[in-house]
Amino acid sequence: MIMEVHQVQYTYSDGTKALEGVNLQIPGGQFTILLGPNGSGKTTFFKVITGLLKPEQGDINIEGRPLQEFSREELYRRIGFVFQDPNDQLFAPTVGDDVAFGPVNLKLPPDEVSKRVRDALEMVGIPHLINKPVHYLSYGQKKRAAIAGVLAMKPGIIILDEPTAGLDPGGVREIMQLLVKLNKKEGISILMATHDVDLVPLYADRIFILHMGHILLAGTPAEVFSRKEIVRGAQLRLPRVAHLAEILANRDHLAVAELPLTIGEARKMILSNVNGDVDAYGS
Amino acid sequence: MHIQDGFLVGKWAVAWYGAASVFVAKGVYDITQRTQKVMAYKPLLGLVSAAVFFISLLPIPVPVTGTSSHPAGTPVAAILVGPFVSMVLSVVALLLQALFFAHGGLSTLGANVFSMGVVGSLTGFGVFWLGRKAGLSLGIAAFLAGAFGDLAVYLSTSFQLALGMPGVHEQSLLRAFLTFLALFMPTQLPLALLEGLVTGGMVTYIAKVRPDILRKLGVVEDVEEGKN
Amino acid sequence: MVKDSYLMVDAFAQRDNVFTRMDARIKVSLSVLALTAVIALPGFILPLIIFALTSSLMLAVRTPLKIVLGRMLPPVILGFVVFLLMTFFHQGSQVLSLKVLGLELEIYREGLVLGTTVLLRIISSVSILLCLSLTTPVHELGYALLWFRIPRVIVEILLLTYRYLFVLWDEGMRIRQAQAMRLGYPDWRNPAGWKKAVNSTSTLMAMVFIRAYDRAENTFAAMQTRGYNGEVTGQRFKKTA
Repeated sequence: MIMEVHQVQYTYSDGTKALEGVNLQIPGGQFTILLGPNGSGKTTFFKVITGLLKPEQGDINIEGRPLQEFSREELYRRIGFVFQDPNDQLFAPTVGDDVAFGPVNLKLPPDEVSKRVRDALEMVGIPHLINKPVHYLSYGQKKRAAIAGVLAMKPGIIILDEPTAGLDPGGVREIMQLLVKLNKKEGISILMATHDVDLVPLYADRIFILHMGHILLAGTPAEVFSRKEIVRGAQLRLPRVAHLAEILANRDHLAVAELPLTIGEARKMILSNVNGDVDAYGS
Repeated sequence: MHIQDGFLVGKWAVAWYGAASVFVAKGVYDITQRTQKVMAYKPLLGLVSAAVFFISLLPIPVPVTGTSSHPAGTPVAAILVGPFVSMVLSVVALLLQALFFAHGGLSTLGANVFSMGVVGSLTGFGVFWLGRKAGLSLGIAAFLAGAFGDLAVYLSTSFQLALGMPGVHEQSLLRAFLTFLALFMPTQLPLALLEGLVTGGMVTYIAKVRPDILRKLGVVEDVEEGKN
Repeated sequence: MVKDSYLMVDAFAQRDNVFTRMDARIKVSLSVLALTAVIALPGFILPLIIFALTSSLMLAVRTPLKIVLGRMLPPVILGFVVFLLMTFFHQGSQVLSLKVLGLELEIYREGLVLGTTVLLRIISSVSILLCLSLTTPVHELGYALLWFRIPRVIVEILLLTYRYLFVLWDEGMRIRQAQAMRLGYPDWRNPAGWKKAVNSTSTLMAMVFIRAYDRAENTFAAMQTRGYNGEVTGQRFKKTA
């Protein structure tokens, strides 16, 4: 387990209970999605597990060691946190300077700093923007630059708060593909928050549903979305294709053994119904 | 209201640099000290500085002349972050203005920091502090701070201009001073009133919706302040 | 409008040419030297020479006339007012006297000379600064200022201000447009409209300030996760062109 969270509670100074006993485990190397509606405590949770907020109760272990035992430097060599608004994160005047901020704070030699900056920008696909002032970047480019700033610290896990918010469909696809690449090729564990249900089955190995400060469900996308009532009760919904399959099963009596979550799965289900090949999905 | 490069003769340009730097040094020292205890202070000042700079660029309507002018911004900055820190922010704002808008200049930076930064901040902060001591409400005290702060900037800039004129001597100093006062009066008097109004309005609004900010910055002390 | 001129100059400084490639420290030194000379030395010749030099530099990098005029005109107009003032108010040997609208105006030689000096100084010093800002991105300038021993705190705040001004500007303009669509800025010239406009302006200021404050908290958090230790600059990533 790269991260274990046990009974974490957090209350804001104005009395708002943001987290009321959150438990979860994240195995290393996986692509994990934290699904939750607005105000469910996703951002608070991320700030707590990255050591930015101190929980009033509960334990957090990173790589088997309690969070509080890490020095700041040790911690942020392991965990990278990408904020929702890239403007919060990119404070330096140019992209290169901003990405260099972390490595310089790790007191790496200058050669290593510039190597890391170049590698990180290469990985997120914007090496040409290295000397560009941040305010000339598009929103999508800013997101990439923010991810590069975290990558340059070479963390084992990257935590992203709503990385797809504010992007057009093309931008969402590009960012998600980038994250998949980081996960599969570089072996970096990914933990991201979103309320975009349709993204989940395409990318996630494992998901958690956070609602009103509690983890309601955990498991693979198929396991979690099979609990339809709980999902809907949490201000969320099924992926569109799953919803369609549900209607086809209930109203039109199509044979649906297991709710398809992706277009590929739905296609198989429909084809099997059309061709009468009931073996694949049962009757 | 800034003095343009070229207006001040060399010795006065240097003298105002000297005078301003004493005060700015105190601001720099304060920030350095504070940052060692509160690391969040520097990013906070960066953002506050950007906000105050933005505010100083906003056109505000001057009804008398039918034109719009810009507030100094230092009185409200002094209320929010203290007079000496506000002076440091004015250095930044004036430097950026000189570079991007050709407002002010480099040789007159010292003079402008002195009038806008030092005089504006000290007057604004002093009036606000006195007003609060006298039991005035937050909004009224901020109004007076903004108005008198702006007025003080106008007076000191006129004085600097008169003093810095090449060839001015004792007899003509007063006349030059009065000339500049009269020249800028039509825009500066209503502008002072307006800077007071927007300063008062701004502080009142913050107190209404986010009193926690004013408490954290130490502008107000107790919880009740936000409810006026 | 203000942002346009700001952005134009800023964008211009990002271009690639002989002057933008030059070390910012050299450009700052040259500018300060030229400014000092213009202000400290008497006579008309030096400001004129410098203005000729800066003009040819601006021509060489193909500065749009719009930028040059937009930036030169306001100070020059102000300079002209001063020129008139000095011409009329300075005592000395009279050159000529005019009667305008029943007022007797006397022009003195000393005033004329001083007025012209100030006007020329303004024109040439504005052009010096314009050249500096047209060829030097603000972050380059910031690092140059550090090298010149300008206190780190000032440079750090300068760079943060430069970075976040653009962000706040966009937010502020969105708020302003939202206010305008709900008639927050009626005609200034009638009292009711004026009052409303002042009100909207102060609300806008407060909202921008509040957003800046909240953003500072997030920025600080983001800096912490990348090992912030109290220093914002000094981690320059060097250009290797």
